[in-house]
Amino acid sequence: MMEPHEVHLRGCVFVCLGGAFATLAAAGAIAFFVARGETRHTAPTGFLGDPERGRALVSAYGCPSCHAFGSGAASGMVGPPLNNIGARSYLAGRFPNIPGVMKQWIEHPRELKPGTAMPDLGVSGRDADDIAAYLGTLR
Amino acid sequence: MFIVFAAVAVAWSLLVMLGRRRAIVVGSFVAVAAAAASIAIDVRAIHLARNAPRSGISIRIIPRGDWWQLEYERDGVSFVTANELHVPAGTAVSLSWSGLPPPSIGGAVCVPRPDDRCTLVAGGADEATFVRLWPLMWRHLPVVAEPPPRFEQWLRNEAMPARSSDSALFVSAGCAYCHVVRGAATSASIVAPDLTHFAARRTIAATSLPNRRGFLDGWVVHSRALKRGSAMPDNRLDPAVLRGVIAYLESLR
Repeated sequence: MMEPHEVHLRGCVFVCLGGAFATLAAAGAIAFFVARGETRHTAPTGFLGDPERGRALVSAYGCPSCHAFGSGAASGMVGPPLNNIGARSYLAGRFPNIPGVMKQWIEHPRELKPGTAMPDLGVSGRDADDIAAYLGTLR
Repeated sequence: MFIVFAAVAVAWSLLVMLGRRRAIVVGSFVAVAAAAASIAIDVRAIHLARNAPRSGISIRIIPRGDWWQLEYERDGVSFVTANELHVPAGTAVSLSWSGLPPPSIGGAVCVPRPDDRCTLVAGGADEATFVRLWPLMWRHLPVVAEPPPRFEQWLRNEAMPARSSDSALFVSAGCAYCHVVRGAATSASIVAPDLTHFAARRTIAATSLPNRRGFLDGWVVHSRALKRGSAMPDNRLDPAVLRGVIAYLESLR
């Protein structure tokens, strides 16, 4: 036979530990989502620009007219899809995919690779930095 | 206005059938108020149409699939353009149309005339709306209502043939099979918009995209990704030819 206070204690062990676990799990989940949200807003290593601004610029310059981004209404079939461009090793089959080169490619594709079908859109240096940072987040 | 009136009439007859006395009284008031408002708007439009200065311009609007053909005429001078209805603000323009219900343009009612035309005095309109209940039709045409001096400038420019003469790539790439560029490339058919002063337009793809290079490239090469059901075929041009065609289009001011 158990003493009444012993039953009480055992109940508390279940309830209190369960509560603690639930709290920890909730905190973890919140931290995970906050962190995931934050990685979207900060530029990946090596990029100088602001990816949020870059995302808006991509629509304004009309990039989705030729490139698929994996979301949104327009999904271009003219150039390669860019939905995981941040994880690819080479650009245009020829240039290492590092921040400086990505910026140059966005600014002056036809100087970098004469004869490419990709147009010079008159992208300014700052805009190119931001777009490159956004593309770097697409993994 | 007619649509509002019809809706009120339907609601009122429903109330009569249901036999709610108070509702009938209220409904009658609403119907009378709507009719009065509609008459007031029409009277104002008629007054405007009578008294506004004449511009002497007649425009014919022809819907062609998913784009618009616009035929301008004044004093025997006429030209064809597309997709953007330019009108001089505050002056009377004679509009006609084929295969469409009468348009309502930025609150300005087009006052009907016996010869299947109407007189329009647009203020700051940015869209012409063609609405019909049966068979159902609901279409928008962008309107650019400008001060008369600016409009005259636009009109003089549009009436001229294309300034750029470098149309060889445009023709050899096949664009001229469907598109007319006055003075450079003439096609027999009217399956696609006239591009004589293309670069002066604000939108492309029958008004659905801004007229900027990034959009234009994608549109010229593969239009269906940008607009479902687009009649323009894929153009897998050599990149050098593509750049030439885009540069030519951008020169058509």
